[in-house]
Amino acid sequence: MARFADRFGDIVRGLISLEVNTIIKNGMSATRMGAPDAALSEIAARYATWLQSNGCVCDVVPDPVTPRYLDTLAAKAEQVKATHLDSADSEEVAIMATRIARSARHLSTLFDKLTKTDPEPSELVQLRKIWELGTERVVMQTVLWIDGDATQRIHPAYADQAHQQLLAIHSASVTMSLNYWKSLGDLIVSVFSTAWEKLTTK
Amino acid sequence: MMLPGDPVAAPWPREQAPTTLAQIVAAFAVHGALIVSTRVGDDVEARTIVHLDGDVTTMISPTCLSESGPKELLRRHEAAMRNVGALLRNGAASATIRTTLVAAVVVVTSTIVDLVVGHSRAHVLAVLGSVTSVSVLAVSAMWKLSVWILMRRARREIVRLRGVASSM
Repeated sequence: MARFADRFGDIVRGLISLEVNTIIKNGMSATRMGAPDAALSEIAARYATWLQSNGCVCDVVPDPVTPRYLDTLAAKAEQVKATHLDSADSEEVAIMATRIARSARHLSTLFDKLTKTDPEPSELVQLRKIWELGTERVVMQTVLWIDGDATQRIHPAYADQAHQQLLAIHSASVTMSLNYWKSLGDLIVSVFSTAWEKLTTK
Repeated sequence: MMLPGDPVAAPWPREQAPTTLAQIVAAFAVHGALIVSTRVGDDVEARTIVHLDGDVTTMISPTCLSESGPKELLRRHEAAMRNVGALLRNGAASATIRTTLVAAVVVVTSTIVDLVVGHSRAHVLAVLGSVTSVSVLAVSAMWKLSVWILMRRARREIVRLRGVASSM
């Protein structure tokens, strides 16, 4: 019962906001996400590579990857964030280091569910999102809240006329996300308008 | 069809975009995500993924943005996404008809129960009004839960069919 309540809570929380990200990514054509353990190894390898390129010494990614290794990556990401506080690229580094620390810890807690049992679809969705995002820079992001608030972030390098087509694609992504949300809304309105009609015309 | 739990990752098909509502439902059910992919050559691609919870990630190859990059690909991808957006919008409309019928049955049943246990119609309306805000969230959560159940069933069925195929 508690498990059902947790799952129900997860679903309700997932409805509160929509996040639309546009990223520039190399070499995606030849790959798709495989089994969870393979995806975890890929994520760990990408995180380790990024940390090393930012002055961190990381052990070789174990095969198979372990929750302890993911925790180590999270701790190293925090270190990188702290050591780059005064550098020129501190903001970019901080964003990526925070993402790595959060995602690595999250995957560490989900590790057993993802690899040893039949994972829930919601857990696979989380893994997929982290795998897709990797260490790529998010160039455009829109977050829509259920109360109507919206936050939009665009990397300054992509906000010019030359990237108009990219903006159009991001806009289409937002529309698609809203249409998905709208499909939920239409169902709700339909249910309650029918209920109201039936009760008041009796 | 590939599942997240499959041992070997395979390349995506050259182009991928659902063209019917049935394909959209099947994509959500099997992958937990809807994928729209537009490609030119081997490493020039735009890919958009709509997740089960409504979040969307779009990935663009850097080549698409270069001065001489294939702008046509971005245009095609945008058009493909708008088509999927229209399918989702129309899908909501057709789903509404079915839900209306189900809702009618639920309301009639609950009204009869309330009248049988002695509550007035005004009482039923008051209760409905007070729980509306909670119910809005609950109904949408139930919708998501039903997609989630559909997704699990589809995955199990595919695993079962694979088992049958491998034992043949």
